[in-house]
Amino acid sequence: MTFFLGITKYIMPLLLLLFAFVFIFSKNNPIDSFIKGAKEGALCCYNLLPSLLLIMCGVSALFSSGAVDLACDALSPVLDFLGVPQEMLSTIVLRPFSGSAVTAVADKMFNQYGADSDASKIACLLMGSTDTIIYTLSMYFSAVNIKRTRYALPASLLVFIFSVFVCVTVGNHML
Amino acid sequence: MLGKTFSFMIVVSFFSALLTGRVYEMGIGFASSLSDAVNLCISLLGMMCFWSGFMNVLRESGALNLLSKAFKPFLRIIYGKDLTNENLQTLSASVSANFLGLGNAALPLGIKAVNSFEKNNKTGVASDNTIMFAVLNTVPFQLIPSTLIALRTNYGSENPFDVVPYIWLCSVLINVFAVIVCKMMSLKRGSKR
Repeated sequence: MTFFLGITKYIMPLLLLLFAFVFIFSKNNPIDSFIKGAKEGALCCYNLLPSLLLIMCGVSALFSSGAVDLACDALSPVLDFLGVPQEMLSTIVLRPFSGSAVTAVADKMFNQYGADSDASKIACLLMGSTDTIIYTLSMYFSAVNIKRTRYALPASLLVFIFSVFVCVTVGNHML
Repeated sequence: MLGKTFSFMIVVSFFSALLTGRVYEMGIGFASSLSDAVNLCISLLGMMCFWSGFMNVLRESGALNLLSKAFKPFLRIIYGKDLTNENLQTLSASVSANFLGLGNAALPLGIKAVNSFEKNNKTGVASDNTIMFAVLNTVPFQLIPSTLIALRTNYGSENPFDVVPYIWLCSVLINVFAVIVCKMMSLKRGSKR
């Protein structure tokens, strides 16, 4: 099985090699098109900064003010009722907001309860099949200057609730 | 969405800070969050430039056309039949980046895809395809979740890979659900472009 992890190490270098081959064999000037594309990328990044500022500011306020802890306390009885292990509570609460915070929490959890405990495995399922919501949505929409996002946020929150349900069910009955 | 989300987060944080007595910490956190955002943007800058350039080269050399042919049937089920060639190319590039676990590349390529959807849209209202794409990107399908496996290996899991098939199962179920939800919501609210 470590074979697979071996493969993942090769993906990026192989892509770079492919890129090198394209540069060698391409007939129309590849450097020009690379530069043109890269400039567009830089401009796009510049356009992202203002909305990133707002989002990061809001998310960090949620953490530093203790709103996340309050949400954990409030959700704890509900999740307990639904058969979700208590240990992975903060993973669920943090997942929509911050990728790095979730990784940090998972790290702590694995350390405390072991990587093979039920809660750690369910947390793995959730982390492997979902991504942050607020950050992802705002990146894509602000990159193209969309102000009215219609049903995007409700839809992704609904999908997230379903994800928690699926991961807990699969985790409790199959692992 | 951005404005409302921001206001919501700040209002909730403010009252939580009053409750927990962490008003001072909230003020401190504000300053560091701004520099975090700039740091993130700078680290994105390199990726954005490289992957946008990479994609441009692949497109002009015709390699992207091959990829988009392979993905076409599958993408047409999700996004409908009226996809342009550019839509197909950018979408397949971004889906493959996610699939291979190249999170760094997935964002710039994804932004290209959204750009191709909204090129002629001056209204500032999201189209159904963009929403579908963004929602699906909150539940990306990854073949080998290498970060998780590394984390499990670090903490002495007996078989770090045993969760992988279950992650695939969850991912597939969640993605199917996400597509259905988006389709239903777009029907319900009408396609007001």
